Amino acid sequence: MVERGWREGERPELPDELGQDPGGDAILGAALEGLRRAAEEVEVERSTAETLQRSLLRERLPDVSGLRLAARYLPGSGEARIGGDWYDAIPLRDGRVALVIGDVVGRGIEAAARMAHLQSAVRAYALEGLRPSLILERMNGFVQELESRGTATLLLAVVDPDAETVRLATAGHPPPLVVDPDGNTSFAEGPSGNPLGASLFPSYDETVIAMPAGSALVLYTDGIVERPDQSLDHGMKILSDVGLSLPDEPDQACRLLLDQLLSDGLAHDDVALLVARLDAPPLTLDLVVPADPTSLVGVRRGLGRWLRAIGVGDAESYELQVACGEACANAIAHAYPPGDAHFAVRAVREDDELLIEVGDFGAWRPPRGGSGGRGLALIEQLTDSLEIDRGIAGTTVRMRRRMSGMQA
Amino acid sequence: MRDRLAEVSFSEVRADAIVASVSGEIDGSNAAELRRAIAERVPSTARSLIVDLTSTTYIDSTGVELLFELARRLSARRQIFTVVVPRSSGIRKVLELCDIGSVAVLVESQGEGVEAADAV
Repeated sequence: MVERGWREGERPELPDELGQDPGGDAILGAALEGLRRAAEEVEVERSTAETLQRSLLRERLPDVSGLRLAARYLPGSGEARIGGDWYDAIPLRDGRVALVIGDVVGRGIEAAARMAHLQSAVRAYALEGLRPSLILERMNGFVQELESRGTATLLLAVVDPDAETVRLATAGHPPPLVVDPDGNTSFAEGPSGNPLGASLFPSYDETVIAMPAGSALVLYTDGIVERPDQSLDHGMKILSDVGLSLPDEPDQACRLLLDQLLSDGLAHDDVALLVARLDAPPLTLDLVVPADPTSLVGVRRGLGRWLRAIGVGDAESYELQVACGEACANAIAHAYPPGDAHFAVRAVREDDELLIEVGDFGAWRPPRGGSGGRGLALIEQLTDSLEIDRGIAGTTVRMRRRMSGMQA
Repeated sequence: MRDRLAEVSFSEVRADAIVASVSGEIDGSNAAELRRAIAERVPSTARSLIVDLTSTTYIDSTGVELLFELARRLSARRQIFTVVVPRSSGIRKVLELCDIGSVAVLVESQGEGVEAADAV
């Protein structure tokens, strides 16, 4: 055995033929150590970037009446392949929701940080109520202002569950897949603008497409359709084919899409995916919601959408929403403390009469003046009959109203 | 000022007349905050408050209660309270059922509101 000048335990493990000269050994050893550290740093950066990325993405998507949502983010399998892909769902006023998918060019922590800037800016502009094309225009200016310049693609899809439409605008992002209620698929190819940050004065257009109840919308980043050895068209064809048998439940739909499209179970690039399914209004409305004033808006949106579907006009719908809202407010006020109390809302059509029931699980207490008394008076004025059933298990408020303009 | 459902903006049509324009929806989740926000912006020196509900798309009894409370506060200070609701507005019926006219001057436009305040 050749003495190499290393004490046991210190000697780097090198193939014998590389270790002939002790001087060369030392240089090589240091070089390898450097490489090992670099690899460690890459791994640390990778996991930091992934943690950052994941912490920025909503785990729980917002509740939007009539729309079911699910989303996934998967980091890529390559080194430091955390690429700043993101999704978002921003509830807007009047029951619409802005779906967002974007892809920041770049890798690692820097890309994740830039994605965080973009995500916040999109939220802020969307909450201002700006139209999608204008949001993209503003976002382009925002990207120009960022210290670390670079481009990003971004797609906005504002879903209106009442009108059953989607308003789309895109900045260089691949088109969403639309699955119609019969299960046919198509890509919503709209006018595509430049990626954000690619030009100083871009212009963005928007298109409105129909999204009838039962349709699904699939937003994705290119990581899911791109293969190193195949064309993008090929990947999109596969996506479209998988869409033909898309499960109804968005969460299962996400799972199937990832299973089928990432055949090795791994994404080469990172992947963001968002699936939205617009529900047909049910024959009977059945809601169970937390006994909290913030539930009121969701109940009236759900009721409003249901009433529209059965042909009730806007004015009557509004009055029933108020009547139901007052009963809900009572249920919330009487909810059994502490916390986690719920109440139920049920609406059915019985011939030319509507029945709306609001049931809580607490004891009825008579309203003492104030808005409680006013609320009950409003219900009486806006409906034809009001019954309050005070059971042991809870209180049920039953409201009936004969409908004038209802479709047969 | 805004929350998830409603937004309120203030203007002074004249130095002594404050206009609070509320857009969106008023319910049990935001009525109390909204009342505070409006009450804070009306100095005791103002002669009148005009609450413009032209762009308000929903109001329930807590929203009506907000208006009654504002009315009590203003009347204690001898200030004039005017509520703007166009005849075509969906919320008009609820306001009428609750007899908001008993505590406020009910008008159809901001301009009419200013005139009404002058006439008092």
